[in-house]
Amino acid sequence: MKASMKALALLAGCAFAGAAFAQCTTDGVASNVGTFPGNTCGKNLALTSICGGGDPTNGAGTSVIQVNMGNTPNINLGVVSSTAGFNPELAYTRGTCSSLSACDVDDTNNTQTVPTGFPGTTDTPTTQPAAGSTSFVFISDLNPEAPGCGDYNLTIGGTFPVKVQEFTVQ
Amino acid sequence: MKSFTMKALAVAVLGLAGAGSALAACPQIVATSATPGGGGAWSSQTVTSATVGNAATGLNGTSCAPSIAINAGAAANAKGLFTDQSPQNETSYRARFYVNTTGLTGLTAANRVFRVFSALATGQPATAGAGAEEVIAFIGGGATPFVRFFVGDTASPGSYKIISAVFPNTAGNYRIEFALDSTAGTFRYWISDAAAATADATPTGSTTVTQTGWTGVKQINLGLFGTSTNYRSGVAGQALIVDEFDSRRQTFIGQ
Repeated sequence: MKASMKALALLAGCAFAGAAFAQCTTDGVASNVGTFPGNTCGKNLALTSICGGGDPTNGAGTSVIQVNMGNTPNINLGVVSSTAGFNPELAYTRGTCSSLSACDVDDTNNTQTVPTGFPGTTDTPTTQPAAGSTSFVFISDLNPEAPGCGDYNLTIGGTFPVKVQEFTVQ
Repeated sequence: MKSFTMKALAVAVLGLAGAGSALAACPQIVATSATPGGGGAWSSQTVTSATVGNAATGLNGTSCAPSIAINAGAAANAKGLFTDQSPQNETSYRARFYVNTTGLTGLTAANRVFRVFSALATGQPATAGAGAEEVIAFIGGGATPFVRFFVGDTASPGSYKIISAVFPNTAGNYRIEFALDSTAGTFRYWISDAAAATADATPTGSTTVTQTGWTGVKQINLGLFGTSTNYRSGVAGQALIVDEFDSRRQTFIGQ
């Protein structure tokens, strides 16, 4: 009995990072800068939290965009929702596509435009991704609002030159 | 069935000096991890990179209550929480507590969020992940702060049903109660101003849950833990007050 109680306490400590974890599925792939439209409703519902499990989503859906980096990436991000009642969370991770991956961008501001001042202001990852790496952008909604999901335009700016696959001189 | 009730955080102890005394004694809540905890009423308390102490006033008419603040620069494992290990794999479990968020002036965005309560089981479905949490209650920020429940539900993606409710106002003094019945497959909750009356028949909301694989509530934690990155950067040093925890198997708790 005593041992089981200790085990339970240990589990409680481990669970703080996020009890509900899940691998996610991507809604799109970006291999260059640009604007990427999408919709979050009903997407990745098993992704109940993001950013190390610290941000519990509202359960209405999370869109995930995979970003394939080229050489020397230096990216920035912004998202604009076109759905009333959908004030998005914009998050970015260099880790795996999972609830438990830490985020290098984690931004929401109770408006449909993230970050505040976008496009003049953008969110820059606290650590830029490595050359040739794969990373993920999460567009979700943490607010208790209706519908709490909807249409968006994600802008990936900066530079992440595509990797040269083949080069010949004739 | 044996019933259990814990007025664990009603920390004011009245009348120790005899009839007619106006004195009220508050048990000292130590600043560090301790067994027992919460001044003696709880199984234990756990403090990591947090400041825990006695608030100047209690909630729901008590003389004092615990206050908890995450320290500046703390990491994701920062926490100040009280643990109750009296539940016995409860399949019918009700809990009620009061919170005061007026000190959390940085609680301004939905990604500034923390766990205020969790109920743990010894067994859970594999799809629920590494944790054993059967019910989690978060508090998050925004124009009006909100409560979000994660309730074990094998019929939902990720094995948790997500339920959100904004607090009824921005006054900062609230009462939270829920009733989980694993056998009936129901979860009901009451989110109210601290002074407002509530009734068993009129919850703020209710939902169905499928609790296959969950073995019932064995332990609960109450306090400030599981903070988001933005909570730690924007709300550190600001104190949450919790008080008047009560848990039962069957009967409504209310005020």
